[in-house]
Amino acid sequence: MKIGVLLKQVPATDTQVRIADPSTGIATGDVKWTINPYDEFAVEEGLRLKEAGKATEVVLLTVGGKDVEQRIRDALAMGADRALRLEDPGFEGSDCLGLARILAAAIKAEGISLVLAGKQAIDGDNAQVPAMVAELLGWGHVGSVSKLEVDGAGFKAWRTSGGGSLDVVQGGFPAVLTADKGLNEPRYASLKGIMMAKKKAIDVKGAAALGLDASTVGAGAALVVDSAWTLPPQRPAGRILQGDNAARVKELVSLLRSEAKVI
Amino acid sequence: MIQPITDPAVLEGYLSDASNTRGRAEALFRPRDAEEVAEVLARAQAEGMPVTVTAQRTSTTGASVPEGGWLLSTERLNAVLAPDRAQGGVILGQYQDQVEAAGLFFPPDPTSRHECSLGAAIACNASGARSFRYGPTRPWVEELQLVTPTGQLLRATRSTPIPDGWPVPRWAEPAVKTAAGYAPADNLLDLAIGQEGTLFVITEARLRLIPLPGAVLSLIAYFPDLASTLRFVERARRGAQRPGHLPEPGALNPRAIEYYDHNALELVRARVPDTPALARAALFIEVEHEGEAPVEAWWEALEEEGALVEHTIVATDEGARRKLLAVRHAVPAGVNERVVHNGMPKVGTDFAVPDAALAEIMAAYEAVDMDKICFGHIGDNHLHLNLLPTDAAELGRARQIYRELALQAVALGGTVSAEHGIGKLKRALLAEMVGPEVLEDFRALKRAVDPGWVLGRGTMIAER
Ligand SMILES: Cc1cc2nc3c(=O)[nH]c(=O)nc-3n(C[C@H](O)[C@H](O)[C@H](O)COP(=O)(O)OP(=O)(O)OC[C@H]3O[C@@H](n4cnc5c(N)ncnc54)[C@H](O)[C@@H]3O)c2cc1C
Repeated sequence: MKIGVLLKQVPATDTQVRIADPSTGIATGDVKWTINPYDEFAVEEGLRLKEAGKATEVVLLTVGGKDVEQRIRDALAMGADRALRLEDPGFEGSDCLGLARILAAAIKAEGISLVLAGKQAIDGDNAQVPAMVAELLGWGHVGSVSKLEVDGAGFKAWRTSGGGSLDVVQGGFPAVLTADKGLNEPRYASLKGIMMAKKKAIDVKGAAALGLDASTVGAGAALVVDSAWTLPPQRPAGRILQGDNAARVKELVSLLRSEAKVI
Repeated sequence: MIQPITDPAVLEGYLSDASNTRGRAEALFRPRDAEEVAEVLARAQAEGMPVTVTAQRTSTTGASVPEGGWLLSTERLNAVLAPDRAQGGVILGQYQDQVEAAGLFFPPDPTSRHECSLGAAIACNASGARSFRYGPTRPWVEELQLVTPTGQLLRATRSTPIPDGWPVPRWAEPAVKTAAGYAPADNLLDLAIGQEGTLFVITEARLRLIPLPGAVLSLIAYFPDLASTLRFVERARRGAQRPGHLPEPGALNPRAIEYYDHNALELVRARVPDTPALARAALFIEVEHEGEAPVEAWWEALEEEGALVEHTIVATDEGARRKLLAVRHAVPAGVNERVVHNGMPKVGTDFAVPDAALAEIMAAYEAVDMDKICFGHIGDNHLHLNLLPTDAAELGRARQIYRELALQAVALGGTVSAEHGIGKLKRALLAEMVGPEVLEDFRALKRAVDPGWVLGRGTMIAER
């Protein structure tokens, strides 16, 4: 069984995000990037399945330019076998559905039968692409998996659903599963892994190579267009109550009731 | 006129430090500027009132614990005035975050940097893992605003002469990383660094900044025994650009080399399950590099010196580095759990010795027959051996062992304190290290600068 892992780079959490001008996204100039943390769980799960003899190959798939190669190398250093980077001028401006079309085409061409992805990317928080990929391929999909068992016949996936209850979903392959926190603890990158990653292949493919109809992807086909981005409003400064303790406690209680509305 | 706080409930929060020694104080002042600091000190000098400067109280030596008198807190001197200029009470780590956001770098990195203050780091000449390459805080300070114990405001740079009548002790500091005793300085700035709040209050500093290093490779390498670890340290520091050493060109060039012994690894193993079973020691190493990370060179060296090279883990970006930090933090966290469990304080060393004496002091640490965990700045031959007594009798024995090891470190040309300072708890050791004549010279300087012996009373040296 060949496993495909969908990979996205996202701004590192310690990066100060700024809005670009015009305001249709973030300014990427000095952003520090990292692998989407949920995708890291997906990579790890793929590697564990391979190490357990349940998969033959772990292939990374990502839509993006040369700037994502370092993140691909990082995932290759964890132990993934090779990577496909999907890039084409016609891909630019794709919405989630466009991205899903690109990825689905690559997944089909690769003969992949299990797709692992993060449950969402922590930048846009769309949580759409993997489910759309499954839909386009006509495969089953389980989102937010926090425990997974795989055997010859199929898989058993645990996911927390609303109200804290636990769903256990059984299914067969091919399938798309997305990883939640708790699925595993991603391994540390190793010196050996980094050296080996340098020798692993990153193939670049565009629309033609994937046999994609260019009119179904990119800005022209996008159903969702970001018209403007703004930063969340600044949190108002805290207030320090004055006066003696008795008066301050009284005022605090009344503010907690009338303004903060927590009591 | 600045008013004192005397509410015992407020004072309570200022009476102990990280050593858990407790003191007492009658009043607390929280000056907003150097003039108010000067006012408090002039008054204290006139009244013969002891004043202890207190910042964030992370000292491990009792330095910031008052033995009566007034407390002078630097907490309101907390403004960053320019990228290279800040007040003494600014939190070091917060200042560094600001500087780094602007692409600049202020290297001193005491482990406590996110809790401790800049002024105290200067007053104690603090250091950290990166001091292997960048030295302690001292070389990164260019100018200070100081208030003397008589309430005089001074500006100090490396060209400011020592005022007439201040007999700076001429003594041979151990040629190792050290934070023990007054610096044999030839200028006012260097005298103010490392004086542990006994000669001056540092109200403002101008600092030396350099461009933020582009890329850093961090790695944790595991070793099957101490011998291979020491061999590797030896090799790794041959090419290092460290203060006072000529690097061998083309060799490995780490900026930090940190050690974890087998007991420390047990603590790591409890939190990081894939720690290799054969590992008996580990090194955490940081390497600054341009372009591609020099992974092949490190692999080759590790392999040749007998490391468990296949298990070497690395980080090349901030996210991964934070994960590696989790491995490192498992050690002090585990030590603290043991201390709580034992219900007895740990006894921790802070000695450093010259390069040539590393193997000998390590052997002495290994030979200690008591529950212990050893880790620290092996690149600078500066290890923290933590003795973990389980009852009062063992505590007594631990203190005895500590003293013997301190004297051994001194005999090997080392120091009784490489970074934590002397404070109130290590005065006797400092006295043994420097001898009675130098100690008398220290006292003479202290008396000249602070006639009433009011500032930091009880820290570093006793009045007689
Ligand atoms: C978990 C932990 C890890 C640590 N790791 C390190 C380490 O890696 N390296 C290291 O060097 N130290 C380390 N320390 C010790 C301590 O953090 C440092 O000595 C630090 O510089 C103290 O900062 P502070 O603001 O807490 O000062 P305080 O503890 O409040 O004061 C320390 C001393 O400095 C004096 N002082 C404070 N501010 C001023 C000022 N503005 N002017 C004059 N004197 C002043 C005080 O009077 C006192 O003598 C560690 C401590 C802890 C608890």
